[in-house]
Amino acid sequence: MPLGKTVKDVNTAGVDMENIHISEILDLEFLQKFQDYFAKSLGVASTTVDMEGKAIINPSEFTRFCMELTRGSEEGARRCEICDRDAGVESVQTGRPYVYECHAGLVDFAAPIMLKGKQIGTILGGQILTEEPDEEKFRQIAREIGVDPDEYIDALRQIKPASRESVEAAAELLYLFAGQLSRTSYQQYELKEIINILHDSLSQIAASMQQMAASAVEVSSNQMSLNEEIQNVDTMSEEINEVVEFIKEIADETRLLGLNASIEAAKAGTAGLGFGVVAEEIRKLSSDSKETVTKIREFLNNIRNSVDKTVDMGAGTMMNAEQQAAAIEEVTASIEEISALAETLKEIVEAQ
Amino acid sequence: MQVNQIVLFQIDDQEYGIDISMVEGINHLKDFKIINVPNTEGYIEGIINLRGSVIPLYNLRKKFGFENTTLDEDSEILVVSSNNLKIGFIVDIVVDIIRLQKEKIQSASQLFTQISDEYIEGIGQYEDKMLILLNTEKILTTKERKIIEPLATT
Repeated sequence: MPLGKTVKDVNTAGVDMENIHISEILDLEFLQKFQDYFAKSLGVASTTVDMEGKAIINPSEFTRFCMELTRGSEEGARRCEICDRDAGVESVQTGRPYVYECHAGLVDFAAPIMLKGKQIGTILGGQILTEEPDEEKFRQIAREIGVDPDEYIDALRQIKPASRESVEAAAELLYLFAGQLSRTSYQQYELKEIINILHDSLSQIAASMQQMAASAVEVSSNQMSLNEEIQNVDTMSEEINEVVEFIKEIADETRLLGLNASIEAAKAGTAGLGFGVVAEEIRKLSSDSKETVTKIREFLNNIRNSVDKTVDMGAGTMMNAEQQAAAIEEVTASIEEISALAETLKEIVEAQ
Repeated sequence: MQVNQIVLFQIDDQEYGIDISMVEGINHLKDFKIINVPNTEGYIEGIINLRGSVIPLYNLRKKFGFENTTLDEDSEILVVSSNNLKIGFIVDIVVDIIRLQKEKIQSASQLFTQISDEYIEGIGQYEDKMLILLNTEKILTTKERKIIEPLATT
């Protein structure tokens, strides 16, 4: 009977990479905490997005420049989206972090989150100035996206400066971290899948075992009824045997009787002739009886042999049934052990 | 053509016959208690009480020199008369009473010139078997007769 998904399915196909979403694999709570502290400690804004570019957790340390002003404006937001996507594409092609200048003039990075050679999401971040900004350029952009240039410049000044190197290092760090996290999370995911399959399989095996145990019991009980019947046949055979013995004795006595009668008839001479004939008939009767007795004896012997054979087969069946029952018990015990192990494994995995 | 009625009996594979006129009756050995008589010859097994008469039992196996002389409990007693003396021959089984034509009988003197066993009357042919026909009158030796006579009641 098919067991549905098997462990082999999980191992060979892996997690269905096409359809699985990054939020199903990564521990988002943990990721959020890490991202927040990372961003705070390095002063680098960060956000994690899926393959569509949608954020899966809250962005950390986003600058007012980007959040309120640039993304706040319709045109600005549109440009940011294009920018993010392009950066994402670049990092997809290389599978490596990509540091670039965004449309608004800040230095950003895109660090791909890789799992088994495929990208499942991206950590975007940066919002750094690596050199003294060209104010005029920024004012121009502000006008283009419809933001008050003064406010824009003011927000710009709030942005921390950092060297390009440190941005690259930050991107690399996030890339390594994300990669490791996704690897670990995925292993846990796989493990959970396997444990579920194991659980289902064991349940089915246990159900099968129960069925087997039930049928073993039936075989046993049938065998016992059979044994009772065999006993009956045996007893009847014995009784028939006794009767046959008795008949044999009578036949033998009849023989002697016939012989003695013939002897007496011979002594009586002519007077005994008639009686002599009778005596001969008696002798014939006894010899016929003997023949019949022999046939019956043979018959009984055959019955006895059949009964013995049946008893042997019965004993064999009983043994098989008992062995089966014992085997079933052993298997059931093993299954319980494995189930317990699987439970423990589940607890370990979930505690990670 | 004279036809004799012969009582046929068997010891091991060998078949013997006694004329019916010398036969008194047949019994099962196991129906009787054999009483041992001390100082009797080896062939005499003992005596039994048959309907009031005392009949000595004679072991033909010993007489005829069979290797196995032990008595089987299924043996039969062929009661014969030998010169007015009733004795019981212990045999394996009394097979039948047959009619044997005189022509089928060859007298012992015709066949064996050195035979010392006078009690063999002759050899009879019946179906494809050879029967040793016995003469009960001559089967007991004088010595045996002397021992048996006082035991038996006529």
